[in-house]
Amino acid sequence: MKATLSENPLREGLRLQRVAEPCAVVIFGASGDLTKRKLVPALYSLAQQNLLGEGFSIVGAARTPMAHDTFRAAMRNAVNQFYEGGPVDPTLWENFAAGLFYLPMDYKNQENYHMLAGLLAQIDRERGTCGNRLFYLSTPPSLYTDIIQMLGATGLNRSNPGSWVRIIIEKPIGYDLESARALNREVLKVFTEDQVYRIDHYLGKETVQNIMVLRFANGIFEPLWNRRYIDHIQITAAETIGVENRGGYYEQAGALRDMIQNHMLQLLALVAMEPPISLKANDVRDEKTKVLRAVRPIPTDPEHLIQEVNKVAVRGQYGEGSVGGQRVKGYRQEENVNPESNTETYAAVKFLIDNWRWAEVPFYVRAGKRLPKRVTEIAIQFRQVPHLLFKNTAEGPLEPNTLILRIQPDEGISLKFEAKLPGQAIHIRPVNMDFQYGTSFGKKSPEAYERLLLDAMLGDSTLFARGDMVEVSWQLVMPILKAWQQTTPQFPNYEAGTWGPKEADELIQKDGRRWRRL
Amino acid sequence: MEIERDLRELWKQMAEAAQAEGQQMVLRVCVLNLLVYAPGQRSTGEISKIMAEVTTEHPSRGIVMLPKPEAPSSVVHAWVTAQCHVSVGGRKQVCCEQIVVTAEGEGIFQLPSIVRSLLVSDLPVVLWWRDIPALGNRLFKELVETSDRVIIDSARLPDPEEGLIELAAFIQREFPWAAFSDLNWSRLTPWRVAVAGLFDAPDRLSCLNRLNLVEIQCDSSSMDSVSSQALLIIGWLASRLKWHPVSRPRWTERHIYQMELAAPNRTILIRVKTSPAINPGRADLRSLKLIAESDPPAQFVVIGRDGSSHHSYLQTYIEFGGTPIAGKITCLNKESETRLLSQELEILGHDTVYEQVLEFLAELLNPRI
Repeated sequence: MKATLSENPLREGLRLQRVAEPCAVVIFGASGDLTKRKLVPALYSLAQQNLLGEGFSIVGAARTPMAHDTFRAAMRNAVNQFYEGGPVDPTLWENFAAGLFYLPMDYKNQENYHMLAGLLAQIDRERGTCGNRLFYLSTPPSLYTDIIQMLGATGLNRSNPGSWVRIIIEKPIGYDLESARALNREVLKVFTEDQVYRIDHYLGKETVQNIMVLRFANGIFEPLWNRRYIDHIQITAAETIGVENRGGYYEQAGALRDMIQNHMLQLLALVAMEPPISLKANDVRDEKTKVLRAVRPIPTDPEHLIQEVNKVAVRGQYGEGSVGGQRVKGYRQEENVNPESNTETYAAVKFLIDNWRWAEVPFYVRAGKRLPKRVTEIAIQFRQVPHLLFKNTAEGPLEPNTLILRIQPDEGISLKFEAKLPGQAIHIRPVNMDFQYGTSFGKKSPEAYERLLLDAMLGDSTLFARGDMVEVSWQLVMPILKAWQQTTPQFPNYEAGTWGPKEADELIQKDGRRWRRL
Repeated sequence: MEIERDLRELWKQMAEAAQAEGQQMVLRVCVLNLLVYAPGQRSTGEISKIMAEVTTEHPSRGIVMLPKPEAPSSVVHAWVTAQCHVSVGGRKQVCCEQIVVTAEGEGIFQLPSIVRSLLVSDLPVVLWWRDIPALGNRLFKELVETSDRVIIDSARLPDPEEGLIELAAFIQREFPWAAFSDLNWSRLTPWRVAVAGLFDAPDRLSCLNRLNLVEIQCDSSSMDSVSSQALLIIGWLASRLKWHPVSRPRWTERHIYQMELAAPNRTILIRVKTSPAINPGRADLRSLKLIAESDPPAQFVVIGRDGSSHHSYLQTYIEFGGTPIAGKITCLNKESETRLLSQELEILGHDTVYEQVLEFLAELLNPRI
């Protein structure tokens, strides 16, 4: 018999409804940065908010030999350092730490997985976790297949009646379409799709979730949300930071793989998708996948590939410059970066969606490092009024209306429209009608990892990418990756602290538009 | 109207001052109308402090009513102030309006009409009645009629048994459309969450159908009354688990308040042990034990534990078939009135579970049983 939280009559009407069932989370790669910076602080925060089930337990697994108590001490330090709510509460920590375990593992050794199974069975008995397990792959992606195969070989992928087993896979999901497909194939040999949670932490952000609410809980936007009223859409993810200590990873990735293939296309899908028939995970993900399938592919005829890609995509790499008044080095001078690297730190792509709603409405997407400002936003620019009644005023061209969904920082929504300046003459100025989360709701939004970990424990995969969605996203960027591989760019082509290469401006200017000044 | 004019002037002055001094931009924000009825205040200090805290999470137009019905004269005064705080992220100064209305003698009956004229259009209206719920009072009824949500505190009821029966009747018969909240019910939320969590696992869920004994320990403000928290938690268990009253509760010993409830296949004995309140004027739950005596025996326990001056803990444990299972400790911030109020302002709809609890208690405590 399978029971769920919703069958517990005492849960009915409780304001704290999203509480996870008792379970054990197994983190592979537990000695890594993500575990201490994000995962364990997020889980502690959930415990602190009383959102975890009775007997909740964590098993950290990694190659490093370590005793349970050493792991507990390391995690306590990590939570003290990275948990935003301040240092741990000693009593609460004691209870939380009683559910922390560590298992040194060689990921390729099957015997180690039997030991893991034994430890999990013991935790079930002693802490009442009922056989519910959430595996979290936080290792280098090269180990994903080994771990998944071993979980399958030792039966850890299967659940007993009434319990569940799920797996979270960190990005990157593949390096290109082929490797993403291969990984999906391996995963689906061992797990069913509904057990798999491909994490994209962007989707855990409150403002990203608010896109659906804005579109489908308000009557005024959706009638305008189409080619008749919208001129174009700009999606920007600008970072002021460089590659920090991730040079080694970034050299293999670049802006297109790191940002556009996943985060930015997910944002595009949320903005462009049709209303789902319900909020069930697959109904939402069906619509997102459908719209990504409607994105016009770049013709892949090898003779014209580079030419076609150059029409819609631009890449850049920062050289030295100044960001926020600080002198910074160029990408090629960063640690663990090839001094002759051709990895792009900036990418801008124009997408078109071939469906009734969006025909010929361009989606300009850009992401880059060492830009002047940290800002992620979606700007929906509406068409100009059909007849310029005020053309004889001294103001010059009227600004089009723009609806801006700010993802970070200053999360919120603003609408730009024209207004008359007080006075005898007609002087028109654009003004912003502003909604800010931080001012209208004094409550802090939960961290993306808290939200996503809890969702996975609750079995809600709405905010996770499905296998087919990942593959469609890769399909869209593959021609660009191939073309860029075939040509040698003139890098660096933008100075750190500027808004990217001039070719990016030209990309949008040739359509008679310009990037928003942010 | 004068108050509206004063408000406009207030905002103008604040904007000019901020501009002149090069301070952060002043942003006027309002997501609801919060009416506060607070008699017995010597000054506005305490209420202003509460409003300042509440408006950081729920920017609102606060209309604070300070009545002095015993005053011989019939005078009404009103003035406006602003409550400001720096927004999350620290980029803007967010300000909310607060209108204070003092009313003396017969003047208190003008309060509803004054309030109606001051509401910000199209925003929800929440009434916080910071007094003993005066269900027969004309002023209370008129203010409830103006409001979408009414917040009371059943901990203020001098006789919880009598008071909860009356409250149930009032909500059901006179204002079924108004959404009522009870701060004392909110104090129980962490307890309810902890109890519910004990039954999340499938094998324990089935124990709910075998429970036959409930033991509650609570503080009591007076020797011969049971606390409203104990009654509310009994009402919650019974209404969720479909238990029905068999007989009226009675005091079997000096500190033991007992009753029997019926489920389809068994009788459930509820035993409340009261002890003098540690904090005078507070009647809090101390522990809750749910027991299934049939084989395999099981016990589900939630105990309140003291912590620091800022927080306490709830500890749970389970014994199932004679084997103890790891429990959980939850940290509880000491729920100040402000914090509870703030939580209540997050929801605007009916709390149907609370309404069902009151309905059950009205039946249980009905002297005709």
